[in-house]
Amino acid sequence: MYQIKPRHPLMAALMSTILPGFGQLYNGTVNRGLLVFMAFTLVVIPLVLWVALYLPTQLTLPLLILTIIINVCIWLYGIIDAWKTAKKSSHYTPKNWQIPGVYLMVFLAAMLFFIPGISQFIRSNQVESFYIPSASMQPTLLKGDVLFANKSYNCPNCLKDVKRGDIAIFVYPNNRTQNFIKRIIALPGDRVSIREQQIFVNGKSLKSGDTQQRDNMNIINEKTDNAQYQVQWSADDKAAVEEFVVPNGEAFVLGDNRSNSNDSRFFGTVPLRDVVGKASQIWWSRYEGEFRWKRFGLVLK
Amino acid sequence: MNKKNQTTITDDELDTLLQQTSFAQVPDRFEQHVMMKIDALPETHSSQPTWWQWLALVGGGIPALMQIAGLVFSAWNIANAG
Repeated sequence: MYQIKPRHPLMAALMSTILPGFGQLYNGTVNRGLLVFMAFTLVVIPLVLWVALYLPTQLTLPLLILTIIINVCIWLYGIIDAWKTAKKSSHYTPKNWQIPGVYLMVFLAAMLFFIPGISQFIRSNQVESFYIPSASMQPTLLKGDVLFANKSYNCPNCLKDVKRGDIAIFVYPNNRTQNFIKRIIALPGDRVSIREQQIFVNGKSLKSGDTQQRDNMNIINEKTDNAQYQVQWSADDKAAVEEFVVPNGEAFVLGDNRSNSNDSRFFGTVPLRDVVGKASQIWWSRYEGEFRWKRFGLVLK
Repeated sequence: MNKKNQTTITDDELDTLLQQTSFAQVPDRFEQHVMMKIDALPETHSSQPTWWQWLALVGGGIPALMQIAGLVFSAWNIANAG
């Protein structure tokens, strides 16, 4: 006696929907299933690596959108292929390994280990998105901005080191479950002081150009060897910091909204090992129901 | 196989051997008969997947879809940076 078990197109398509390549496994076309799965999972990593490390920041958003389109196409191909193959397999004789236990094992291995592992790898080492809930980095970052951060930053094999002027994401020293975003002002060994709304690093003021007035705020241009940006102070802010030397392995960070920022003036310098990413590009900006279209795709400096 | 028992046969000897051997005649339409017998064998059709297969698919499918979407949109998963 031999057993014929027709392949059900709907079952094959659904299996491919929940896990690319799974429907092909059900249809007995194992090699094609593996190819679909590998393409789906691995196409993301090389592309994201490429985006994060080797291409100009301006291309981050378009190329990340491209990776999504490629991914969705591979996913849809897997579903359609599984459906079509199953439709042709009305007299299918299952192979001896095609039993529910094997399907379950493959599914669990992919879902519990492989896919979460890759997701976590991308978020920890390549690119992660951050929402800005406060005004502490105004005028550079506004409340409601969502940005990409390059996570391939400040690690032994990373191409990008921490530089003065970088907008860095770091673990908040007073609550290690939170991330903070501030600008790197000074690095280990630098002498830092603040007086008359000016930052001095190694005796040199960061201020460049004239001060502008806007809504009772002083808008000041600052320049480091790496970046040029604007900061704002309340017109009446007279806060000062006596000169001190940044300890080894630490960085001094400030928010661009100098009169309204919880930064190194309050919680002290930040260990460099806690700096986990560099803000690179805004991809979404919405506050109080209003889209700020001009900020979409804005590259951060 | 033991090499001692191996002998080499020439082409002429092989021809002679084949001529001396009487093979059974293949009955007419032998292949068609075999296929008809195979078709006549009882088939076990599992016409529809069982209810628990559908249940497992749907039960596992919802978190699985979330995982897949999580992978595709991994760069878009948003964390707060105060």
